[in-house]
Amino acid sequence: MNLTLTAEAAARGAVVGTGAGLLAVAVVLTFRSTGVLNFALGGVASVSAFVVWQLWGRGGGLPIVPSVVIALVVSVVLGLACERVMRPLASAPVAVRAIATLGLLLLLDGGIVALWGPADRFLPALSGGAVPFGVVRVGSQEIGLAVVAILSAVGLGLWTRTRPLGMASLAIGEDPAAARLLGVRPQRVTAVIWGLSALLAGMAGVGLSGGQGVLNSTGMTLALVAALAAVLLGGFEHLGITVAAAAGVGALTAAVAVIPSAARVSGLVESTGFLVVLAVVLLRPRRSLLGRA
Amino acid sequence: MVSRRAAAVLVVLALFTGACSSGSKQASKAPTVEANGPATTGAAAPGGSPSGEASTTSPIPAAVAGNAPAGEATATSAPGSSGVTPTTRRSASGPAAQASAANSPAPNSAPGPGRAAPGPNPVPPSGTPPAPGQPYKIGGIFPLSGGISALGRPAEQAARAYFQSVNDAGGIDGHRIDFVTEDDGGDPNRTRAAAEKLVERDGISIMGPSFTPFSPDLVPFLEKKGVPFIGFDGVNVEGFSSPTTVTIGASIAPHARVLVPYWVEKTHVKRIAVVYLDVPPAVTYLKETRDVICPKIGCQVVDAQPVQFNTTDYTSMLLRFRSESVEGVFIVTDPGSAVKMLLQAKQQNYKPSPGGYLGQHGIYLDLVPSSCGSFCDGILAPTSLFPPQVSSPATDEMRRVVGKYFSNVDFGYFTELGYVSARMLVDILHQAGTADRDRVLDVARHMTAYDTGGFTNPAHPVDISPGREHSRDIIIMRMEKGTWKQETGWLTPRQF
Repeated sequence: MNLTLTAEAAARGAVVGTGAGLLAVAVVLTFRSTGVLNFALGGVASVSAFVVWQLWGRGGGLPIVPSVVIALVVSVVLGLACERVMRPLASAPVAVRAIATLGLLLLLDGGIVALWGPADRFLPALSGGAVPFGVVRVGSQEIGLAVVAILSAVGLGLWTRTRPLGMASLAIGEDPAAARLLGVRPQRVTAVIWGLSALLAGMAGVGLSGGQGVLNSTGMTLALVAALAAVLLGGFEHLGITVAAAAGVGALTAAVAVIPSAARVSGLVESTGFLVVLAVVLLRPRRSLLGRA
Repeated sequence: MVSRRAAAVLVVLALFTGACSSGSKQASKAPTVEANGPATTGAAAPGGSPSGEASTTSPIPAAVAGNAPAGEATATSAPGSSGVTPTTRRSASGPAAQASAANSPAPNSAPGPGRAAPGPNPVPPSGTPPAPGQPYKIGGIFPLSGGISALGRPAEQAARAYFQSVNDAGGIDGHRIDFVTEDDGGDPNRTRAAAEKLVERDGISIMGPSFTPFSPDLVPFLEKKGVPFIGFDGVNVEGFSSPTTVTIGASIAPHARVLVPYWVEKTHVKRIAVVYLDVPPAVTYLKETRDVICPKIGCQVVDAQPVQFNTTDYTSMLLRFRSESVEGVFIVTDPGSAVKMLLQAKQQNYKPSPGGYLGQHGIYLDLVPSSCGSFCDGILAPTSLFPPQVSSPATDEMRRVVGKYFSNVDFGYFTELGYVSARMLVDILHQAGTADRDRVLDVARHMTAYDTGGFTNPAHPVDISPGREHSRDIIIMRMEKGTWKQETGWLTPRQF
């Protein structure tokens, strides 16, 4: 095994994984405030990418920046709409609400197919160029997305500690009744959280789809599922650990893919995230850095 | 207090589901790989090389480059009683027309010399043919969604466009074509369900042009039901031995047996890596290359990497190939996966030397070079049909007809196969004068020298009679500046 090559591939994988961690941050943001495991974020990410494809990618004539801005606005609107649909289920069990978001995901995927058809589309990278790291090159788009993910985690962490609305978002997650007594308006805070997480998902959708080149209605759903490994490792709570976990899973996946005997086992590379989670769940001690889940 | 435990369980379940979908296989069994291929069973190309000789590499002759051979008129035998005839059909005169007339059995005549021997399973009694004036109900199954929809959708559109053009011209002897299609998403389980629906609920007379590369069970099902399959895609070799299945396509073996030797001889590549979609047709390409072709011509498959439709990281495998001093990479995937891989190769600035990248007919589609740009210049792919990117009366007609009904259609091998298969079916129905299944198959059995009107090598009229695989000549295409260009003339597959 070529250790230098493996290390360089892992480093690239860490950057790519960090960018994908933006989806994980979105999931954690929603969950820790509302208790909803929001699968619909995968659909929001896909819609965002398709909007960019429609306006810019297929030669729609609009420059890239306004296309992305419009896509992100659409993402936020979708997030707020999803929150409104979920509001009657505010006191339902976790599983019920998660399944409801699966329904929203199917609705969004169906909407994509209805509007754009089921066939794959090609979305070029938003920004070209790559940075060399040994023999490996890391795309500037991938680096940019990783930076956005880190800044989002840091910024949201500060926001929830220092700003009233941020602190209120944690409060309603811990004890909605007490928060209401303290003057917090849960519905308003929830709406802000859903909108914010949808914004993050939209950014992830645009960044990840452009990097892969091929766009379809299910690609971002699969990316969300893969990001759930980081969500679990972050304990559904710690944004920084979530991003770090996403980087770690990305690095490990890339490292496994470089090992010939492992890479030739069909599906092993794609299942790396699941195997990491399985190992952590089975082996980790009760109290750990990886949260209370 | 939110329940993290419940959420954690849901997450683990979701990840498990995702992991299972990554490792799932597409079909229940891989098609058998015939190590010696059809060429050694006696089905040599008409007028082609005797067994054992190497394929001929000919410069592009003028006849192939788009002009009909001398003596072949472009007058038509119109499918309907009125209206514009949409295609350049069988010649109205000349040796090709005479050959096709000879192949068309006169009523109550004895079978011609070209008739294939009946298979072990006699054709069951046919369904009730449509009454006079009633439409011919034709079925079709295509992956309109899922990983290979990039191939399936344009194929369906091309076939539908041709049928629509025939309908607009009055139909086939007054019978319109009702083309009923189902989406199987590339899933063999859905293919079976789609076929059952078409046959048992929709009551199709014939299964027409279809693209079901991952579903080797479709042909046996249709055979058992007594439904002729006119427009089989040719990917799974089992279909060629069916007495009720007709195809104008070529299987994987002849494509590989022209493409790989040409690539090896052109580039002198020795150490090859194969990136293949983990589905039976791609495995067939891998085995054909690794076990049949390379041992004979001096190349070696040093690495074989399976991928899935949802594989996103190709960089790591490319880095591994680089460390293994791979000299050429054979891409045996769908177009979407090829685009993902080539974009990452472009980002890594990795083009193995001296072989570069090699495609196959599964990525021969406009989408791939247009997505990849000049980095992909030089990538080859084979086709057993005259390339749609090269102007000729046949391909110009096809583009005009398809463009009349659908816009922005990606042309490639399977798109064209859909169109040509539709054309072939209309020819057969016109000759048969009915959609009676027995009659249709009887006509097909006599079509041992079918003139495709410029879609295949005019020097070798194709044998489309069912029951065995017939040889097909292959053209190699090359990516250049965001499109496909013709690399070679018609080449006859080698025997190995």
